[in-house]
Amino acid sequence: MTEITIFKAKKIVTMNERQPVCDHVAVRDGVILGAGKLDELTGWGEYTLDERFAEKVIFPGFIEGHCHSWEGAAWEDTFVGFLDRTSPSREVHKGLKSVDEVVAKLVDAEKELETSDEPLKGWGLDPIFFDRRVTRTDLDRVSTSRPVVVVHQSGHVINVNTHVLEKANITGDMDVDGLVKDSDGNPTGELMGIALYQSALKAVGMNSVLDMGKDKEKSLRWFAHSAQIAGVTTVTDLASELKPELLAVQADLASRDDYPIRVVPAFLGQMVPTNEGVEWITSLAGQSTDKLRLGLVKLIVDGSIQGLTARFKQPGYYNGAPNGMWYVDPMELPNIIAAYHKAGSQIHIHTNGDEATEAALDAIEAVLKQYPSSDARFTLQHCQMAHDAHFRRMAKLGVCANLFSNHLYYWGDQHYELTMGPERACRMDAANTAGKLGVHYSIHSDAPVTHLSPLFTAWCAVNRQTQSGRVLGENEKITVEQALYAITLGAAYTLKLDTELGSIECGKRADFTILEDDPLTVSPTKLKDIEVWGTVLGGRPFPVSEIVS
Amino acid sequence: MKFGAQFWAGVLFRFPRLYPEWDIAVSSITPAISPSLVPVTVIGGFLGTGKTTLLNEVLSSQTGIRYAVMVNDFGSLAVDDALVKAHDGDTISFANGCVCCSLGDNLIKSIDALLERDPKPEQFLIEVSGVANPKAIADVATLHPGLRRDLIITLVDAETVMERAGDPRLADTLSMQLVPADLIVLNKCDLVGDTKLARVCSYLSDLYPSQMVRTVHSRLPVEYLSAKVLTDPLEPKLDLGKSEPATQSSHDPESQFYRCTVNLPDNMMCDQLRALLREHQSSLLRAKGFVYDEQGTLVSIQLSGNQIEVQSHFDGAGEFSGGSSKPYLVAIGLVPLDAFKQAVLANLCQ
Repeated sequence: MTEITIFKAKKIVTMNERQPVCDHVAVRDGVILGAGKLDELTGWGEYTLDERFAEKVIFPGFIEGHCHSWEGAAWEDTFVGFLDRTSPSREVHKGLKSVDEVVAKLVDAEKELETSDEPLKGWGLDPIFFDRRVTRTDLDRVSTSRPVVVVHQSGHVINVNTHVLEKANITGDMDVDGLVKDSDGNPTGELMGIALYQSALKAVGMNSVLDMGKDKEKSLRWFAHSAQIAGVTTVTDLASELKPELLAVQADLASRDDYPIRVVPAFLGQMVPTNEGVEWITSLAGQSTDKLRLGLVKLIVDGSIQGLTARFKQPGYYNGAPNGMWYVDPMELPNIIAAYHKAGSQIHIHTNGDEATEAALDAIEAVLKQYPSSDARFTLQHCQMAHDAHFRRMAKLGVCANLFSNHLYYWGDQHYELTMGPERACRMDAANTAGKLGVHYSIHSDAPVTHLSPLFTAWCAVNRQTQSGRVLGENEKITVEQALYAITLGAAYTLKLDTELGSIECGKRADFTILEDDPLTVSPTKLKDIEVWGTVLGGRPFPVSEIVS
Repeated sequence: MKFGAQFWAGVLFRFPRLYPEWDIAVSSITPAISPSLVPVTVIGGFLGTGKTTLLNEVLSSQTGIRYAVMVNDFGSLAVDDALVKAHDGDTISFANGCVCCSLGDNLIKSIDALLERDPKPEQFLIEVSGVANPKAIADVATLHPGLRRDLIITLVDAETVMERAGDPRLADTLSMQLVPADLIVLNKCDLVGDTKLARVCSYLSDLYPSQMVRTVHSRLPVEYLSAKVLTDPLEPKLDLGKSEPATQSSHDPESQFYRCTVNLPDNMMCDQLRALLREHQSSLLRAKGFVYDEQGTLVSIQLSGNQIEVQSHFDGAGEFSGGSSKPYLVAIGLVPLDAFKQAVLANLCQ
């Protein structure tokens, strides 16, 4: 157990300002003894020189500061998204560019099903990119005799075939919100909102839309594979109800040497009455392990921008849509934050629109006045429409931002044309301003909402390019160095893990991302294309090539 | 990332602007209701408006009705141990036949569990959180094969409502709670003076055509938890809030809106009224009332925005035939509604 391994690399990028680059790193018991030249490390004692990375570039293990474990379970179902996506078994699923392509993929998946009545479920549908909506007629081409359910990318809307509508007895004459109808008044099969989709799913014996799957262990392994493939060593699961049965599986996996990630689940604090939530998160305090970190709390203030459910101040949505939804009463927010803050939890708060960001900052300021803390490190998650004034306040309050840079590519054109208009679209996810004004920030994917890949997220923040090739805000671009910092030490900081993760230096955990090329020397436009060899977690190599499905 | 019912109930989808060719959630004919369906009344309103007090009252009184009460926060109920018969995990059974449980992460699952109880609950009361849309929860009842939607009741705190209405962060949420409400309960009337109470009343009645009652300490008679009581607008409005009722709101000269109540004769059919509402839509902000449908059942009709919704609240057609209920319509106009009122009456003369 006390064996020392010294990894030799073509280049090690440390994120340690005193020694930004070196070529050897010594590891013992999962901890870094030192980084530097070989002769600076041999003094630690007898060692094995491991040269497998001699032609590769080592980074501090990437940290995904905002994703969901549902990323694993999602792959139990058929992916029908618009952009290419790699599955946890390293299979590349081509993006589907039309409704016909979606139907064709579902038809193929239907043939694979073993029994004649089991449901077929698809996920990742995003009709915002198509010239028309999907209808039950489309899904009836897949099957008329079994339930066919396709969950939209947002997770909030589903499409079903006629079979499901009939089983659930959903008809055009019903007075329910979110039931989309054709010109004849018949349901098209697109169902928005909880009442409709829970009722439809129940009628065909399916669980909720965001189900952790039948086999939780498999789902969590797939989640880990998705991370490993992207070079990620620490992931958040933001947020979870932390139910005992799921937590037990998570804890069991985390205790195994072959589980390749550290997981930081956040407890969704508004799911239960606050006093119960505080009691639950407090009771978990002592149960953190090396690879499972408990104690983080997440609160959700508003919805999403592309779903038109984010809360905005004047002048609101560019297309004139009415304001979005509060997920928590802004008058109540200070009380909820105060309760978790007093109990010692770190709190991450989802805000998308500027009104939500302000409500969160008002609440944090009020709480900190009453319960001062020198380093609470509140973090605003997404924080997509924060303005300079908000970032200045955040810097003063010590509030971090985790910006949703992937949005710039995924929906940037829609934000420019439809939701925010040109000016505001060009200052979305304003990493440059955040950094300039002294806000600690990270950048994220929100996987499975977008695909999990910190190098892609860095590419988005550096190039700010939309799918159509438009650049959204030249002066909010950040440098490659800044982006790489954001996905390592920047993210570690937002999770209060920067004392042990995020850089390669003496005393930190030996978590590395192993790349085939150097992000600092390739063209910034190629950042997302760098091949990931795999990772090292606590000194143990996890090559991507060894992943079996 | 598995979120519960309350969470998603807060999520509304507004795609009509993106896809204007599609008509979202506009109803036509309401199917006849079977008497065996259990009625569901949804109770909304901001935190602090008195929802929990109201439910506490129901659970601890001898109403003779087996209520199933579903709440956000179990802990906030002031449950008298002497009244509790059994405490079984997430569900409390009361000696008076009522049960109470928390909403849980899957509303439909929780409802189904309560429906399986023997004896079956006679009425559901579901509390929704302040920022959730009560209509979204009422939709669950509409869609459920064992339930029927009864009422949406929204509680309003007389002391703070004007503050909420003037807060740009909350004004639209207040409106979201009040627009679908069948009954507005103006609570905590004892905490405001007569002048303020009158102002609050006229503010609410100028904007919302729903029936309104005034209360203190959420003391609402249980009849008001079901639609039966709402079918007659001409009965003196229940006023439990003050011994001195506030001045019945006449038109506030400051208001930009105009309210009128029209009594509909029994021979006016739902479709005729619907056509009239469509015709006058541009001058109407909202309208709400009761009218007979083709089967002779009294149904509620509501105009809001460009949507007209028709909803059955009752067990079959016969129940109200001998009652004192009268079809009526309350309309809120953007202009004086004399022309609309005349049109309604003219239509009746045809």
